[in-house]
Amino acid sequence: MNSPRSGFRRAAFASWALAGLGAAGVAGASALAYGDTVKPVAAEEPAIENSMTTEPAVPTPAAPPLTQELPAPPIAQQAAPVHTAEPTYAPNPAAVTAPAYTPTSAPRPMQTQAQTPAPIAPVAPVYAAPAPVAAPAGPIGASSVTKSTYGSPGSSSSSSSLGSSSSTRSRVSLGSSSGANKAVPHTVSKGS
Amino acid sequence: MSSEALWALGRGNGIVALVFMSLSVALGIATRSGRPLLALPRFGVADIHRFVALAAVLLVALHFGLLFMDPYAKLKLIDTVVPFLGAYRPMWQGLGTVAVDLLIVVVITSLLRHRLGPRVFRTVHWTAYLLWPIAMAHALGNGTDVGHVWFTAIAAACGVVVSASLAWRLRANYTEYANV
Repeated sequence: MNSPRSGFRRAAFASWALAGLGAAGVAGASALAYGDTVKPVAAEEPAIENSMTTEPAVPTPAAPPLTQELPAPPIAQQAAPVHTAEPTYAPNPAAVTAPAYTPTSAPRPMQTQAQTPAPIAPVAPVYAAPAPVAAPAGPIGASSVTKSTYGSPGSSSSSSSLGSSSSTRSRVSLGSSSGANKAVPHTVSKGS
Repeated sequence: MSSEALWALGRGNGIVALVFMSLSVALGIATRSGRPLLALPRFGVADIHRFVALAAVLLVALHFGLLFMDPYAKLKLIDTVVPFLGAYRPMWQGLGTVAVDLLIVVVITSLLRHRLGPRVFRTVHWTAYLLWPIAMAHALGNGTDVGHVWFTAIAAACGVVVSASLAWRLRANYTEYANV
């Protein structure tokens, strides 16, 4: 089996196998390159259409989803250990809650914080009511900016951005597609 | 054929040419070791090294030819041989031209090996070690797909193959007769 003829045969087989792999590699790499060239343009059009279709629905239902998405994580993470006590002091209904709360927390400085969430649980609705009132006023304006700036470069699926960000959206989406898209470098010659 | 297809095919040919150059470097090192490789005899390894190297030359020719026909690449015929004259990223594109020049020299001296003698052939063939990093720099600096994962994976695989081969080449027991 180690004759020169079998060696030539195996070498020829390996060579043609590599040739086939090379042809498949050219086809695959070209397909990937072609997809990177064409796909961003095709993906932007539906995104723009989605944003146009959602624009009428944005003003009315915009408040619930944005308050659920954006302000919820920071409040949910911070309110559990610390802010349970602070909102009780900040709002005015302390007239009812503060006298009931301070005696329990005063004699036990360390363990009361761990035990306070249980009795303050009914207070949570009271705290939750002012939080969304204060949160949408600030974060909605901020979230409309951050969401449009962060969402569009990564992918064009951030169609939930507000209608006011249509100018920045078109600018950012074009800029994001200039890296791999052929449409933008047309004015300049491209790399290989 | 649309210009988009030419553009994509030119890029694909360039990427596979880089892969075949990496394989050619590794197979050349294996050939120089004088050892059989897997189920292949020594002359089989040399045969495949020659085949892969010529396939890489063909792919490089296709790479340039397709980009030359693409109206957006704006390549000129002189860019084939004279480096650093390109309109777009002339340095990185010029490195590709330098790699093509070295490749032409290596191929010609390989085809004229029996007339030039082993010493000249071997001396010129050493430039292949310079050719590969220049071609890789051209791909990384001038490539449009550098930011994509698949291209990064291919380039990293090429780097690993060549680095492992070079590490094997620098070992003391690299050649088969070293243990004799």
